[in-house]
Amino acid sequence: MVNDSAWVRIQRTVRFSAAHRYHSEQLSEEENRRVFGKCNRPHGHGHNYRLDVGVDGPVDAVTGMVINLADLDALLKEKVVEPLDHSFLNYDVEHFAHIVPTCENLASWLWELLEEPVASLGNCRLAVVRVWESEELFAEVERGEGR
Amino acid sequence: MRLARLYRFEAAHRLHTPWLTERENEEVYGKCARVGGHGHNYEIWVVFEGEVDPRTGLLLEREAVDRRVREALIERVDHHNLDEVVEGVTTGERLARVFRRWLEAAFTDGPAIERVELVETPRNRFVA
Repeated sequence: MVNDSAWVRIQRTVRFSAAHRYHSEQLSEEENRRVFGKCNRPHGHGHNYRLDVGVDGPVDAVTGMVINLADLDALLKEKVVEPLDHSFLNYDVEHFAHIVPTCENLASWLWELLEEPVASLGNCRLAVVRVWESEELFAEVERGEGR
Repeated sequence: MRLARLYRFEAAHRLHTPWLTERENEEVYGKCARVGGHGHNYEIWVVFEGEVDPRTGLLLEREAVDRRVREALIERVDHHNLDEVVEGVTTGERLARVFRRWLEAAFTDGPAIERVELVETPRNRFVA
């Protein structure tokens, strides 16, 4: 047994492909077009999303792991990949029925969705959620003030 | 909440400082000190931090931000010699700090810049 009490962050990546459309009910048609540009086109568009999930915790003295990655994988599959892969976020995810599924809102929602179930995996906590809409854009929520 | 955006530019530079002798420059900077200079396909991540506008769901409007970053940074460096546009030695460390300052000056009324990550080659990344 090696007692290494230092906290380590472990990060796992999953991918899903989904459609969305940027359109806010709180903006006029013209404002929607101006603010969102091409992303406002009526029939939507899609992305190959990538989600990085970082989990912090002490390294277990027996297993040498923060968490069992198989458990994290099962959780991410159930909560994220199965419901979102090949979906239309505006129509298939209730949360986005009236909220624009921007990269930012997706990251916030995924944080809320994953925080408790990740903590229940063991002596660990969700540390960061990073949603990549393309190789050139990501939104990131990290544990800090208020979280 | 943070939103990060990647930009690219191509530029020349040479690592050389008048504070060192020619021999010391060669010792410290190696190939990077060669007289004619060389270049990189740079990438820079600009990471913004702030509140999401509840009406739009956006931390920042993509096109407006892209325009500002292009004006404040990309147009000043893309296909330029960095030694002509940046004062002092153009190491990745210094470039990351200088570019962060340029960007902060362009976003005084916008979202805060949490960090920039300058990628000089796939093996070198400088965070400031």
